[in-house]
Amino acid sequence: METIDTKQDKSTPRVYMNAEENQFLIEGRSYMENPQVFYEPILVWMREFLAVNQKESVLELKIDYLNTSSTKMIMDLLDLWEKYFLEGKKLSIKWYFDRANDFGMETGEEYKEDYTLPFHLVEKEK
Amino acid sequence: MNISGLLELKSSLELDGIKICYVGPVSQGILQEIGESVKSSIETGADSSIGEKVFSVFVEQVQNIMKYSSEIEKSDNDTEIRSGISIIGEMKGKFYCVTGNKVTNQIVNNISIKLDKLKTMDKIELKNLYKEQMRKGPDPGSKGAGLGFIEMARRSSEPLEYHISKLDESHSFFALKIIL
Repeated sequence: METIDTKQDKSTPRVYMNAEENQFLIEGRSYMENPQVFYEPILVWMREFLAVNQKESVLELKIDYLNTSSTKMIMDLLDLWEKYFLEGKKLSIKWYFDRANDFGMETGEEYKEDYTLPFHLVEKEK
Repeated sequence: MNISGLLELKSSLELDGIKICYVGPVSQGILQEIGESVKSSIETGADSSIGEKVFSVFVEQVQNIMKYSSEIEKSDNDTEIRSGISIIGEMKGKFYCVTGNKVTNQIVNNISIKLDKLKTMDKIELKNLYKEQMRKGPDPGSKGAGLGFIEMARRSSEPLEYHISKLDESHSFFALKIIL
C-alpha cells in the first residue's frame, strides 16, 4: 500500500501511515476548515489496510487540539480500529498528551470511555 | 473614519477589556494568525489550559462565521469569503469570546431553539449530548458536525448569552457571548 505522509502546518496535523513499517501516526493540531476533505482519504486508506492487516498494530495519536468537526473524523477513525479489534485483530491506541495541556488529555480520556480496544493514555516526554 | 474619535474608540474598547477585535471577511488564514497569537499571549500571562479553551471557543465561533454568515464577498480566486465580527476580551479575571454576524431568519430561529436548550443543561448533560451528536452526525442544513455550540457551552463557566437583532424580513444579526 502506498504510504501517506502529509506535511504538518498550523491547522493540519502530520499524518504518517506506513503499512510496511507498521507505523500509524497523527501528530499536531487539527482545525482546518474542512476536516472531512482532509480525513476522508485517510479513512479510505485505513479501511483498506485494516481489512488485510494481520500484524499487531498501534495507532499513535499525538494531538494537542481538535476543532469539533475534526473530533468527529477522529471518532470515525477510532471506530474502524474498534471494529477490527472486535473481529479479533490485535489493535490498540496510544494517545499522547502534554501535562500542561489538559485539553488534549481530556479529549483522549473522553474517547477512551467509548471503546473496548486497549486505549493507552501516555504522557509525552519533554 | 474621523480620527478625532479614535481616542474615544480606544477607551471604549479598553473599558470592556477587549484584547482583539476583528471586523470583516474571515478566512482560515486570518483565523490561524489571530487564534495562535492570542493563545500564546494568554499562555504567557495565565496557565496554558485557559489559552487552549479560549482558542477553542474562538475557532468554533469564527468557523461558524465562515460557514453561516450572510455577508458574502467574492475573493480574487472566486471563492466565497464571509464576514462578521469577533472579539476576545478579559473582564473581572475571566476571558470572553464574542462573535456576531448576519444570518437568515430561518437559521437564527434554529440557533435560538438550540441555544435555549443548551443553556438549561449542566456539564455532564452537555458532554453526553456532545457524544450523542458526534455519533448521530450533523443535522440537515448543518455544514459541520453540528457540535460547535455544544463545545462552546461546555467550555463556558457561565450560561451563554445571545442576542438577535432583526434587520429585515429575511435577515437578522446574531451575537453570541461565551465567558470562559
